[in-house]
Amino acid sequence: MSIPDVGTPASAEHSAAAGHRTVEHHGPTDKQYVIVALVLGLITCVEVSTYFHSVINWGRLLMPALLIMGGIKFYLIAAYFMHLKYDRRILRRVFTTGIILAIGVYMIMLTAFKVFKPHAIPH
Amino acid sequence: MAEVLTADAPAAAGHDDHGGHDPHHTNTGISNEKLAMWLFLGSECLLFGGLISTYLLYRYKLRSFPGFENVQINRLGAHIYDIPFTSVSSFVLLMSSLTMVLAHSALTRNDHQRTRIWLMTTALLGATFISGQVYEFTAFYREGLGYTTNIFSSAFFTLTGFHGVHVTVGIIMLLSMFVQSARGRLAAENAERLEIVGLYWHFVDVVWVVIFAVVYLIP
Repeated sequence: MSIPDVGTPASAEHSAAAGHRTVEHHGPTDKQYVIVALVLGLITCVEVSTYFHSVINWGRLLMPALLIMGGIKFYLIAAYFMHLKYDRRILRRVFTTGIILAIGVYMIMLTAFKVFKPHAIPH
Repeated sequence: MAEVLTADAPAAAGHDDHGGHDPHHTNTGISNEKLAMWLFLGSECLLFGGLISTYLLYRYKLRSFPGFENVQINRLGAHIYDIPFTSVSSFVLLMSSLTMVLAHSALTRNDHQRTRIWLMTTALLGATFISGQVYEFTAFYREGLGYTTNIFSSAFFTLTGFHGVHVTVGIIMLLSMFVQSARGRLAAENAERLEIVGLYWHFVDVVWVVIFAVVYLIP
């Protein structure tokens, strides 16, 4: 059995410096964290603006737009704040596979109950 | 013939990217604690996936169930959401993720004072979010939407309530980290402990991103 390829770790520990140990950090810098947070805040503002039709009338694009914006926020948090982008590849694969499987299973379940049929939604 | 690997074997020696340095002595090179947290988060995906699906099912199909044909779901559902208020709560939780990573970053630099400041800020932001949720639940109850009002309200309160419980547990973990840091038991060498708590906190945030879009924004 071969050893699985687990990818490159983002942070390697143990850079000892004359009695004062710090951890070498290969993830995002503090500045990058702030930029990601600002982008997240901006996307949230756009999301909230969709609720107020007087700002922009999204029409049929509303639901796809909200799903895409939610997906981008999900990715940014998982990739940068949870370090998936910088951590070992095996974690990324496990998480991505799990998410895809979970979404697939629940989509099948909801489809079986005909949730996505337009006439099923009460007005 | 398959070669047997044990968890303690230096399996990654010669194969990892640090010239044979394996920080955790596991087959994956990931500590057992961190791997356990990721597996736990995987199971949490299924839990919240189930709760969100149940909410969607009862929100859109409530009238198709026997005995619920005449329920006015709009009166008791989307129309009583206070979107501006919940948006501020969402923003507060998002910013708590930023302060969490700043706390971890400060710890890796052995900057203990900033670590404690950011940890306490994160806990306070989390507490603000929970306060908002308590206010929202109270407002809903006064509007006539209780936990047992109908099956839709049960699904809503169960979903958002479970999330609130997770945030509360996260706050307790953050305060525990704060105390450990104050007692000098949290240093750069064991920064992974804080990273694991951070993983949990960011997951709670990411779940709210989904809940906010699905429950509050999607019509």
